[in-house]
Order: sequence, then structure tokens, then C-alpha cells
Amino acid sequence: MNLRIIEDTDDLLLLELAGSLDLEGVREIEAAFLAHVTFAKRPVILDFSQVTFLASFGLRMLFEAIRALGRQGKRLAILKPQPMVAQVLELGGVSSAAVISFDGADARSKLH
Amino acid sequence: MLAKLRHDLRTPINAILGYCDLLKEDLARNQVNGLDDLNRIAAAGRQLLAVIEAGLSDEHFGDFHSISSAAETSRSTGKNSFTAALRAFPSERRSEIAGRILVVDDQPENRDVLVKHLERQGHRTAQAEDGQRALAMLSREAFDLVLLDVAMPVMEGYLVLERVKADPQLRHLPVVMISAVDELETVVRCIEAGAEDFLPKPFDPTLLRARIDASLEKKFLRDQERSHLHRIEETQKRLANELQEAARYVVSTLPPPMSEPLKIAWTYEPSTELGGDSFGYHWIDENHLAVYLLDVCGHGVGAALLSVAAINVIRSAGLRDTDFFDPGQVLSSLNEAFQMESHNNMFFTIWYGVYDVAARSIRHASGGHPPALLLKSDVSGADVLEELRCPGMLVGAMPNVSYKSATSLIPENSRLFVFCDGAYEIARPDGTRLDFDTDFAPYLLRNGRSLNIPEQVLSWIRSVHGSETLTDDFSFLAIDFPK
Repeated sequence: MNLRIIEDTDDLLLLELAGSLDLEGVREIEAAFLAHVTFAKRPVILDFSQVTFLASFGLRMLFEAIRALGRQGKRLAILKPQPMVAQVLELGGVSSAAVISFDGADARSKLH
Repeated sequence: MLAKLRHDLRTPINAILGYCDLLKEDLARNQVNGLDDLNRIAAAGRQLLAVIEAGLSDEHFGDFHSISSAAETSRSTGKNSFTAALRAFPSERRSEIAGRILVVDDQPENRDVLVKHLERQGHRTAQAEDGQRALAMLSREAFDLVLLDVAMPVMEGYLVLERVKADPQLRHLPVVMISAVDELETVVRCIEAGAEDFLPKPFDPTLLRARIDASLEKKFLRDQERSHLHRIEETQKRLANELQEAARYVVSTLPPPMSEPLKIAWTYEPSTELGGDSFGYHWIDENHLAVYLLDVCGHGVGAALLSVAAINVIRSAGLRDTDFFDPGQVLSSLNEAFQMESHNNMFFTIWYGVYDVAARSIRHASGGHPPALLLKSDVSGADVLEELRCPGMLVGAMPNVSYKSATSLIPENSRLFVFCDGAYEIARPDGTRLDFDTDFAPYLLRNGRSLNIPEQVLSWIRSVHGSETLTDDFSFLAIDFPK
């Protein structure tokens, strides 16, 4: 599992995740991911285009991020999830708490 | 024979040299003269030893003139008084680690010298005059180290060493060989047989202390290591027993299969000793059966504790101001009661349904859980699968979430499958995964009428996975509704 900062400005943090968000994948990036997000103080977009699998551990990590950003009055967007991952996000009710979008501009506009 | 002769000649000289060292310390402590005389005796003794070595070597056997002249020198030196003036001599330093040491030597003077040195260094000692007695003492008492003479009658030191190293109770005991026989072959033989170290006679007190300190330190470290390992093993055993007991408790909370008026069969297989899945069913009243299956994120003790706590709350209707006939309300109340921030950042998914026997309908809601699947016959009599889906957020993920309920009719001759995601999120050996829509649901459509479908599904996914051991918990219920 890889985590990369794509964009880091005062207005937005864009992170790219790549790989399988199963137990092992979450363990590899969770600390760094939550360190970026917990005190971000700005909206965060997660590029999910290269996330191939999402397990409940991955959902937990996402909800921790959503809650942390919520405490700062900010929101999370998940960009371009693959179909199977999108199903899991839908099943888990993530769309009720975060923006799920397949277009970057759309995601940005919904966050601001 | 030459070696034995050298040994027999050296032994008394070594004893003299040993006593010289002891006496030097006594003189220094009591500030009595005589050091020069003792030094001369010791020097003569060492000279004699050298002559014995050279004179009785295999190359130069028989230089008796050299031996006898050196012996004469020693005798004349020894006649001098021990009361001559001397300068101070530092007393023997105590060892940093004190131990109980068994000294084994057939010569009483040798034992005496060694014991005196050892006791001055702070050790406790015992003595054995031969190998057999030494082995008898070792079997009865605890020692930290053995100083063992190589050449002894009755049982030679090498044989004692072999016996000690062959005994499971004694093989960790350090044995330092001491001998006037200083052939390299003997030294190597003893070290290969397991001796910790080898000290030649006459031994140097500083070297004796250093070798003993090193051996004792190693022994004490090994003892500590064995003690730690034993404690770890005991703890592991206790934890394993407690885990097994916890696993038995979790299984005991699962309801027995039902045969009337509905037939309910299930299979439960945690991925570790304790899983995060739990399920149940109970009659809310004589007309309404509640069926529920929940899946806590994760496995192990924490997940099992949460799942059992949540199931017990549902089974006992332990949520305040909650209509347990209304699945949406049940999930809303569960969500407030089990917010992840108060439960070690754990949440769970749940499918909750209430079957109305009279109405032949099931009211259901889901919190992040896969839909239940209803296998029923269409108008033509062919089997079809209907998803009982009413999606909602994971329970405990966010506060103040409301959940909706949906109602589905249950026709005659239908079968309801309620399961966790571990039943279909299966990786194949090539890394690809089962798909719910294109693999799992079609499998149930083809095989869903089998007698023991829960076990059959478990067997199937194990074969897909390529291993008996699954990475997630497996829970699967099959509910047959009467005609």
C-alpha cells in the first residue's frame, strides 16, 4: 500500500492511495495517513483510482479521518473509486458522511 | 607414561606454588616479613617445572641431572626464614559474582589451595576427592560451577565431564578443567566435550578469578534466560487456555439450530480463536422472530467482546426507548450506544430483520452489512434470488445517524440467507477475488436448495481460497419458511 502527497496547499490536501486497503495495507499507511489528516485544517481529497480493494479496516481508517476532519469543520472527498471499492463505500454508508466523486473538479467544488 | 610422570612430578610443585601465593597474601595482610623468601621459592618451583617440561619431553627424555640440581636449589631456598622484611602485597580481589563451586581433585593440597583462593574471592565451596564422589554430590546439591582436575585415579576428569554433559539436569553446569597436563590435545578434547574453559597448573590467581567470573556470569545469564523462557511459556499456556475458554463462551452464546416452526441452520467459523462475528434469533413475541447477524471490524479478543456485548443488548432488548419490532430504530439505538470513539475505535455492520409469521413478511434494516438473499420461486417455478437490501451506515461510525427499514414478503417454499462479508470476500490463490454479483449470488442460486447449504458454502469458499484457513470470519444462516 502506498501513500503519496499530490497537492498540499492552504486550501486543499490531495493524497493518492494505491494498493489494497486490507489489514496489511492499512497497517502500512495508517499512521502516516492519519498524521496528514488529523490536523489538516483544510479539506482533503483522497485519490482512490488505484485502490484495488477495501476491507472493513480501510473503512475504519476512512471514518476516523472523516470524524477528525469533521471536528475541524472540514470534509473528506473520495475520488474515482474502482467499481468494487465503490460498492463497499456505498454499503458502508460512506457517501452519507463524505463526498464520493468521479471527477476532480466536482470533488473540489463539493468540498468548498 | 611420560605425561603421567610429568603430571606426578608437577603436582606437588604446583601445590607449593599455590601455597606460596596464599602465604604472600597472608604476609601482606599481617605485614610480616618473608616475601623475598617466598618469591625465591616460587621462582625455584617454576624453574623446576620448566626443567621437568624440558627434561621429560619426548625429545629430551632423561635429563635427570637438570632435574636433581633444580630440586636441590628449591630445597635450600625453602630452608630460609619466612620472617625476612618485605614490602606490601595487594590482597586477593573478591569476585564480582559469587557462586557455589565444587572443587574436584584427588590431591588434598591442590583442593586446599583452590578452596582458599575461591573463598577469598567470595565463593562458597565444596570438595570431592574423586570423580564418583563428585557425581554423587552433583546429583544431590546445586552448584554453579565445577573445577575439575583432568588426571585422577578411579575416574578421570574427562569421564566425569562426559557424564555431567550427558545428564539433562547437569549439562548446563559450567565445568572448568584444571590440570598439570597441558598438552593441546587434552585441552581440545575437554573443550570439545563441553568444558567451559581450561586452566593449567600452576594456575595464576588472577586468571583463575577471571575464568571463573566469566563462566559464572555466563551461567547466571543462561539461568536468567531459562527462567524468562519458562515464565513466557507459562504465560503463553495460560493465555491460550483463556482464549479457548473465551472462544467456548462465544460459541455458547450462539443459538441452537431451530427446526420448528422455522428451520434455521447455520455455520460459524472464526478466522482466529476469537472472531468478531456474532448472530442470533429470538422470538420477540409469539408471532415475531427477530434475526440478526453482526460483524465487528477486526478479530480477536476486542472484536469478540464488542460483538457479544452488542448481541446481548439485542437479545435482552436492552436499549432504552427502542421498538424492537422496528429494525431502523434498533440500529439507530445501537449506533448511539456503540459509538466507535467509546469502543476502542471499533464499529460493526449488522443485518437485523423481524419476521412476521402471520403476515409472512420480514421487516429489515442494514448498517453497512451485505444484503440478505431470499431464494424463492418465480411464477414459472424457477428459483430466483431477491436482495433484501436497505442500506445504512456502519454502526458506531458517526453519531446521530438514522436508519430506515424496508419490508419484503416471504413466499412459501423460500429460503433466506443471512451472512457476513467473510462469506464472499475471498481471495483466490492468483490474487483475484470472488465477486458478490457474478460469483457468490449465482452459486447460491444454483445450490441454495441443498440440505446443508451453510456447510456447503464454507467448503466451496475454502476450495476457492485454496486453503482451509480463511482470512476473515465466516458466518452463514439459512432460514427455511414453512408452507
